[in-house]
Amino acid sequence: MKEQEIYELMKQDTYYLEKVLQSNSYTRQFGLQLSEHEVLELLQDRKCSLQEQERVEFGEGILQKIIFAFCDSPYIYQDNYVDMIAQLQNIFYLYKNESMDELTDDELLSYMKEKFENECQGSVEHLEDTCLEGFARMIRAGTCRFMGANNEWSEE
Amino acid sequence: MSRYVISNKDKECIYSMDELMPIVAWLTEKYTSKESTSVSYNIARQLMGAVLYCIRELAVTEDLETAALNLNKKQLAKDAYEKGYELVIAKVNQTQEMYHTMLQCFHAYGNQNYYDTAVKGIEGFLKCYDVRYHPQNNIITMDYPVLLIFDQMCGVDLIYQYLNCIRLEQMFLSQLPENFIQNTLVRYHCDYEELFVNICSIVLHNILCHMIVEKKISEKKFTEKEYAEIRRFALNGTDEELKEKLMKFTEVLVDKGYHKDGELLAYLQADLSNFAVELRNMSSNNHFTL
Repeated sequence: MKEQEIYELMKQDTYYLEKVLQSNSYTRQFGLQLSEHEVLELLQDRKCSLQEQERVEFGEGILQKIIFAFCDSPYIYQDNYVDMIAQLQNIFYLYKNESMDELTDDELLSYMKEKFENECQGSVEHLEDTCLEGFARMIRAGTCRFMGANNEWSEE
Repeated sequence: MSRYVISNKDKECIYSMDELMPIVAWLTEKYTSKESTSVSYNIARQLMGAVLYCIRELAVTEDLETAALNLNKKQLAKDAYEKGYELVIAKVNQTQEMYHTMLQCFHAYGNQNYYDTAVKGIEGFLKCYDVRYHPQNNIITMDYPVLLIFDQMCGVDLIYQYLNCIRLEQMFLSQLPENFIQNTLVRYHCDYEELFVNICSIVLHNILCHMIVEKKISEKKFTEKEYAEIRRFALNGTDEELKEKLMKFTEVLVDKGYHKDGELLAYLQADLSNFAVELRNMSSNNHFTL
């Protein structure tokens, strides 16, 4: 990799790093905090996920949104915080593809949050393999649609 | 960092990814209505293609380096994209205008493919063409074969050129008696309505053979004597010489019947290399489809 490219990547990462670290001021009230090293780890995961799922991300990215959406969950605590966020991030990109981009970020996140809290009781595996799998199938088949911001879903 | 080279005939302009990515990011934001931070590779590729298509449109339309002198260097790619985008819209309007003008006196002479492509296909293209997000997509398959090949083109550029070919064909055919065209086509193949063939070229070949035997165009078939004369004409000399003679005949035809229309002449002459070979083969095998 050329020096210029490394510099560009570092510049990008510094931007995201600062953005994600800012979320600590909000998550601290739930007893959650990310260190600089952990954020870099999450950003590295993000890159791998995007590559694996063959997606390109512009702007501020989804990481901060995931943190804000899930930080108040009773199933997430400081010890599993980084792991959970990393897994949720992977799942998010996977199901953006699986739903053929028919869902907006907020729609997918709100569905994930709702199921994670209730049906899955904090199990990321159950969320991925059961809830989202079936949901994505319905989205692809066009038998399910998002009803609005208040987490209402309907089957046609 | 990857670089993209946009070139026209004389000049070329190099854009780095650094210059292009902000435009793609902006376009992605517009594409997703700010409701998705990421897109799939396919969509990203499509949007990058859209940006390059518009910039290329500017490059082929005007001298890019001259434009660069008048612009703030940092915004060159973005400005080139915006200007190119306007040019693509103008090209769509020109295509639409040409299509509506052509439609007023369009005649498919019973050929279903000709009608479907020129009337329904182009209409479908104009309805579905997406200038902002997918200008490089020609949408339709253009099943009716015209005499020119535009393999370096895509999007509205390609459709414009394709439609222009159909316009020239219609101009050529409209000056000829309808019965003559119909009979020529039936003699070529009794199911010509169902074939994916170029109507204009079949008629042109027939007219050229009439010119070879110095006969006025008629609905009647050539006689054996006339076929013999065509055979003599075709087998005398090389392919290249035969092509030259056919080019001359076409020139005379366009001079007399089409007010020396240079564009039409160039279009019809594009078919003569093939016809020269075809005519020699028909003559050698003594099997004419004229």
